[in-house]
Amino acid sequence: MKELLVSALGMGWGVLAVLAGLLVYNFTKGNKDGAFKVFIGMLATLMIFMAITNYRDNFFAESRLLPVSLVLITATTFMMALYFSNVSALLKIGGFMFLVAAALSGYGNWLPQVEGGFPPPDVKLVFDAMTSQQLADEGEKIIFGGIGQSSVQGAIGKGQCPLCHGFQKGFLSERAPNLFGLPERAEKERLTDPNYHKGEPQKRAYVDKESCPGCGTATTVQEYIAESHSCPNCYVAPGFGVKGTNDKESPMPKIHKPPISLSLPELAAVDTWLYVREGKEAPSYEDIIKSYEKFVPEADRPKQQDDKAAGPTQLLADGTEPVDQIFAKAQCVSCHTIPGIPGATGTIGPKLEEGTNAPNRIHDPAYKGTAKTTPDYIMESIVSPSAYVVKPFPDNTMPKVFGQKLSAGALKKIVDYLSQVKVGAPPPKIS
Amino acid sequence: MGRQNGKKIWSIMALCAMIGFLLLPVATSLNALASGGGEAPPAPAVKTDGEKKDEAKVEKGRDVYYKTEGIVTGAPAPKTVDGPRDYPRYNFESRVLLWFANQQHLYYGSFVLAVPIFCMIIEFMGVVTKDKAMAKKYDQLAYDFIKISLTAYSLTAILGGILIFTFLTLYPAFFGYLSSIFRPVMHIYALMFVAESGTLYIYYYGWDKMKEGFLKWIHLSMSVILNVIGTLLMMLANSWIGFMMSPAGVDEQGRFLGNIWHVIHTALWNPLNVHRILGNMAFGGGVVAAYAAYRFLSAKTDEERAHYDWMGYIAMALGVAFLIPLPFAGYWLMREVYAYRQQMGITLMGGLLAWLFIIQATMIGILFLSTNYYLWQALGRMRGAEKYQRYIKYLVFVLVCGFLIFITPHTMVMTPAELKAMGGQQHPVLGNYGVMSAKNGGINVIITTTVLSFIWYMRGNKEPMVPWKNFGNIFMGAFFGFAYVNIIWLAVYGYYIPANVRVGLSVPQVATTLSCLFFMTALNGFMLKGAKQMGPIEWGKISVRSQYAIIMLATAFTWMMGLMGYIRSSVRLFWHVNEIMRDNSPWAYTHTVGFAANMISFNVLFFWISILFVFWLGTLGAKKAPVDAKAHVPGRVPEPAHGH
Amino acid sequence: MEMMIIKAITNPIFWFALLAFGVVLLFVGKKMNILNNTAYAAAVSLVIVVAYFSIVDHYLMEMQGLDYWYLFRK
Repeated sequence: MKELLVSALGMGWGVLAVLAGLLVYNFTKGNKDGAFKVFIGMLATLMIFMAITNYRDNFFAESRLLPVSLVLITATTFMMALYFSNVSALLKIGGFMFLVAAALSGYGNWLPQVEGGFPPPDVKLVFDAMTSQQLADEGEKIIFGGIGQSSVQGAIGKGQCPLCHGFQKGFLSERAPNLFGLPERAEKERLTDPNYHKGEPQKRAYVDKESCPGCGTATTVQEYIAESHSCPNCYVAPGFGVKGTNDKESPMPKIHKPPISLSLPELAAVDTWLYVREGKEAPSYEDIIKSYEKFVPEADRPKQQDDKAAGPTQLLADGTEPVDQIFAKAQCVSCHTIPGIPGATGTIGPKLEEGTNAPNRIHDPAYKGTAKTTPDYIMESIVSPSAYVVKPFPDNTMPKVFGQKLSAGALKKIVDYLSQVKVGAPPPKIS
Repeated sequence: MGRQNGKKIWSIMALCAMIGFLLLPVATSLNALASGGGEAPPAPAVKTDGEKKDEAKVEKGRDVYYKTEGIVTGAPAPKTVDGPRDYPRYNFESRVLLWFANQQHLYYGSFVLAVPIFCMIIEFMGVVTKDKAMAKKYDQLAYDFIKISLTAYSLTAILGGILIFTFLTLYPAFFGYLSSIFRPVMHIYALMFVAESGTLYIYYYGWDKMKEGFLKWIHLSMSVILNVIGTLLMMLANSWIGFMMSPAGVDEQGRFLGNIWHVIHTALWNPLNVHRILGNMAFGGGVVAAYAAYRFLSAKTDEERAHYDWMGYIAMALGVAFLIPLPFAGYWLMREVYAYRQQMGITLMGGLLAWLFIIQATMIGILFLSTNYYLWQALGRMRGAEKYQRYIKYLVFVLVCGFLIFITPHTMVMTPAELKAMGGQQHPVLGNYGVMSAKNGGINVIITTTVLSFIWYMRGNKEPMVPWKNFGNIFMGAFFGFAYVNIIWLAVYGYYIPANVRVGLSVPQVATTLSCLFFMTALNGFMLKGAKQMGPIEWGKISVRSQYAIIMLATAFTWMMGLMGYIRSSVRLFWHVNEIMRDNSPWAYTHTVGFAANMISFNVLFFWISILFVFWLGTLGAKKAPVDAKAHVPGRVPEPAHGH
Repeated sequence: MEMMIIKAITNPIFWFALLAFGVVLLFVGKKMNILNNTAYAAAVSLVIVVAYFSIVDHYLMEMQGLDYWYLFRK
């Protein structure tokens, strides 16, 4: 307070001196009223200078005292408004505005203060030197495409996991188990499930018995997660198998193999996120890598991709590849059955025989899109999948990012190919 | 009658000719652009290998947004380094200086763009009103409006100059790049600014000369032209910020690809345009209302008080009318942001900038609360409104409940330690109220209550006389009652269904609110046809507190505009031009919420102090305006408007 | 029985019928001059308003590809 007064005097002594002179002048003239007004003016000036110095001193500081200045000014103006009646409305309005601003400023200062740090330098990610929080953040990026995306409907990263799995409590997750609380359930439900045959892989009734000959089964939670990633067919959660296989075969691709091809460090990041987001202690980076090395033979381990290619503007396919590769790279094959494309046997989305289907769909009374021709319809279905949703498949399943993730050339190849696929006719040539 | 029609046709023709004449330089320069600036081919991007080899001589680039190919015609975005060459500075944070210059220019700019729109509306009302006295009154009001904006107009130009100099001196590298991309657009902008000034001065100084018959129509047409030019000006300026947020028309290195339309028409351009026009209007309404409040408070006579009470009411009604669609425009903008880069949307709503949205939520609440408060106070102007006044306390209760739920945060950025302490991202108790469907319930309750207040205000001094009035009242009651029930039910229902179904609940909630707004105001209008007036509206008989509500509204709106502008600008984080040109200055980080709030307060107060000064200057020159206006209608009680 | 009720209320036709019924009541009331009778007016209003809001909820959810009656069908 005292320092404030001193520095205010230091700043405003000139003005105050002039006013003091005026005061003396009024006194000697016997103008009592004028003198009193000048006195009030001096008081107000002092208060305003105090407010200004307070503002100046605290401008960059972490102090939350700035709004005090504004309140001080409000008080000053209202005090002056009492005596300077010709401009009292102006003073009161101004003062009131200061009060409103002070309240809002104060509110802003009362909230928790978060400062956005400096931009991350452009460096290559070194997974093994990260804290578990950093690792978890990278994992979230791989799963959902960015930090903080995990709670966003439809967010999806290069791992493509949310396409089938729910991650939040209560999220609809009909194609694959909801992974909320997985670390706990792996221990309590999965490893102890008699069908899991812990330690006795030969007794398993699934399509694959082991991830690799001699790999064995998981014994810990982390190993269970690693095994699920590298050998989805080694154990299928009840109710989530490929339809018609009696839960013996899983619809999930091997994550370390194309088309998803996450490297072991990336998988470690993903797993770390699974623990950290639930507030659990994650196993160390080395332990996670070890768990994967148990199930993924040396030759099968993908090399870590260049980080630059993983940026948000990365294209899944640029249009120079043959069309079957485009289908594979864009992941179409994991959900759709496409005649003539090897491996395209997905059943999550409709079978793509668009040469026959598209004309019918366009004429469907329920069709609300804008396409008039088959190629237009196919393009629309890729770029904005919700324009028309084939029954009985649910809406919002197909990602809406293909318009950005595929080049114009790649899109054109897809459209060309699909528009030639007709029911009952031999599939077109791959170009 | 025929002559009248002929005059109208003439005026329309004159209007068209004038628009054509004013836009001629723009049109010609556009032509030159299209031929000289590259052929701008939206050609299919697919090329066979053979074709590619043929065109190897000219370097081609791919548009970062439109994905088309174009011939590289510009230099890549400069890679800046921190130093006096790219970032010269005073002994102060350059960004804060630029922030200040930008914000002041924007405040004045939006004000002078919004006021002519009001003028146009009010002048038109004056022309079509049958009541001669009312017509005069409206005309005078429109004149008053444009007079206020004239001083502000030259201030806008000065501030624009200051802004450009700030850019040139503090961010030369960035501004050089931006102006190399937008070179032709900036020239068109300058030309249009000349056209705007010319029209504005003719419009203002010709007011008295052109107040009768045919000339009046020409004059009115001129206000249309003025607004067309003003809106185009703003849209051009928007294209720059649109480019900075969501660049297009350049390749990954920031090289211009010859198609200027792509550069202007970026992903966020149109949503920004709509949002800004609406925002300007609401803001302009706020400023004019504050002017009226100031004149009301400093008025010496009852006539003056009546006039400015009325003026404040009209300005405020216009402002609020544009405030109501504003959230929808905001929603569209947000959706486009998410569609453009999901990460950007997250940064805004759930990440770094989320706390600012908490402030915004609070401010929206404050805006509606002040609007309600003003309407309740305005009931005091009317005899017979006492029957509603005793229910106000219940409305206050409803509003406060809605408000508290609305501002409860859901998830927040927190440190891991904080996260552990709270046991998850959500607060164990409060987290339950922070989910979106509850929040939407809160804000919809607030808006519905505002609609209810408005309907009470409309009926304040009237007694419906239609034969079905009893049924009408009961139906209205039932409709509002069930609207509340439906909104709250949907909010509660959201807790019992999966999140991906829950997100859809906001649409029926909003539809419920809008149903109330449209159907109930319409129904009320029918019921009040031929209603018994229990007494005239006694303009000027309103409490002083109500005028402070107006000032509160105006200040809060200015503050919110500063806040949203800050959010929009800082979402680029460490990019000058998103993903194209990096900010390598020492100020590439994002400030704390508190610092931003202080800075916004400073900008708001600076704007208001300067504009209050402008108002005060205005009173020096024209002390007698409202008295003059009154002199035309001798023997009339000050009673400017019957309608609302 | 319970299934039948759920089937009925989750069908928009039911609500349209109710709305139509309300409008019919409105006209009948007008013809018979009992519209300003408080009890009758309240009943008519209630029918119309409830039907209207149900329709709004149902169709605006369906427009987004979602099911308003999710909880009831489960």
